[in-house]
Amino acid sequence: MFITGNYLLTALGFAAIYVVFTCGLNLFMGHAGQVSFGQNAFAAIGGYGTAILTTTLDWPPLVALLASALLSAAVAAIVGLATLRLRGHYLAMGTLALGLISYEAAVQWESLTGGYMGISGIPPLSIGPWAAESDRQVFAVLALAALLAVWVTQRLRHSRFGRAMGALAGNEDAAAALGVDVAKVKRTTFIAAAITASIAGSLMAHAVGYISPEVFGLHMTVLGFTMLYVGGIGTTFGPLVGALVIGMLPEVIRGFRDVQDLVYGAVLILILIRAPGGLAGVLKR
Amino acid sequence: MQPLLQLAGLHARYGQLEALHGVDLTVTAGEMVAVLGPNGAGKSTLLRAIMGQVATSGSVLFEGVAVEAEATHRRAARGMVMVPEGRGIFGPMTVSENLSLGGWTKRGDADAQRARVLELFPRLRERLDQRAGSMSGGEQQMLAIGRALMVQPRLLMLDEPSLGLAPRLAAAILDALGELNRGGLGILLVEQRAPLALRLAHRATVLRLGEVVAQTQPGETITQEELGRLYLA
Repeated sequence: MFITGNYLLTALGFAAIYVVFTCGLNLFMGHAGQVSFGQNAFAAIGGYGTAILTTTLDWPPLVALLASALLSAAVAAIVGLATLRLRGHYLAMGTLALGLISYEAAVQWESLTGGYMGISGIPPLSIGPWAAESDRQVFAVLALAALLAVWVTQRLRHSRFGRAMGALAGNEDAAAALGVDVAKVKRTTFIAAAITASIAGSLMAHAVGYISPEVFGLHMTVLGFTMLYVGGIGTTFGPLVGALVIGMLPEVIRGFRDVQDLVYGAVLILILIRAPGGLAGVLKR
Repeated sequence: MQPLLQLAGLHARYGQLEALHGVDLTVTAGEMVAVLGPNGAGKSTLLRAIMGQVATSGSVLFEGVAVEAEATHRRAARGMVMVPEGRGIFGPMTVSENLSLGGWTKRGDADAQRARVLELFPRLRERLDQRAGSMSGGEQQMLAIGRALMVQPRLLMLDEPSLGLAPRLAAAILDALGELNRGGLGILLVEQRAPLALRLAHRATVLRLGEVVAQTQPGETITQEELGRLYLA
């Protein structure tokens, strides 16, 4: 199918952004076996960082994206010192608090974030003189970012470090007893996930040209979780498949009008019953 | 000769509950020491305390170096390696991947060590691409020990390696440990099946309710009747 419709390109573009977001979640939750309900916080840092640096300080978009990612990494390193001591449900609640705090900060810190009004006029992503201005150009950049995210996380998964992540997921005590620095692996994976979330947030800001607290609310984490589990947590292409399916599902069922939400829920349940390990595994077979 | 492992006044606790009360124990290089005792004696806690996985006070010296302040992974890097109760293998990973993880800290010479492990446990060679979680209990135990050997331990600690295994298989596993010990590896063996452990061990330590109630010297043994009295007294 030759993609011409701008609306379809926009929808696919958003799916691509969520591929990036979900790849990081997949690293931390799927490959390292941890839990994080706070990834939206790092997406917010990326989005707002990019927005502020490009609109207020006129930084080049790519530099702003990288700076925001570095800031997210630093925040993850600091926050991780406290939260990553937790395990299981406690880690989940600790990271949930992070996500909630980031939303409140975006709302309350009006002098920086614009509060509920948000920040508009965010320039398109550009590298040097070239800028992604048309819908096709934006989609191309986002698609490239998505594929890159899948490739990088796949390489990481099959590296020596990836084996350590797998050990962490299997049994933390056994991993430590084999010489794996569990705390360091956990922290590094958390930071990597934060960086990908931040990049996704920055891409969101450039793609839309406007951000507000609602963009990076808890629903972003819920959506990421849904995409990850539908696609296949811990698999290579789970984030890609999940983001595409969940991202496009609302468009497919739009015809159901008043019962759209019902149909959405029913389709999700059906997918999870028929493919409990995710769609990526089914497609592989 | 300097002991390989030396515990002095080791206490261990889970929160407010003290599980070990001032344990003294030594293991010299090339020695196998059995740790016996009834359920709840603190045997597993002893190994976890040595590896720094529970809160402790007291002294833990490994090759003369105090390690009680070191994290678990640093102790493992020194050569203190534990095979936990229940094996602790990584079920979703293959046998090969589990062994590779054992060699995680040893970048250069993992291949040679893997060859030695597969020679000791030929059944693992046949199962290299099999998911570890799908293997039998005995095979998983072989894998757990093989993976621990990949770390190239100087002291191998095992928590009930015969647990859940048929007697013949348990004996085979312990014979393999005996072979490793004869090759110079120090072993601290926690076992419920006292006769099996006493057959191989140079010395034995008996725990009850977190305390040492008996320790044998090389050449000495403990009869079943004596063990029964120690367990139940």
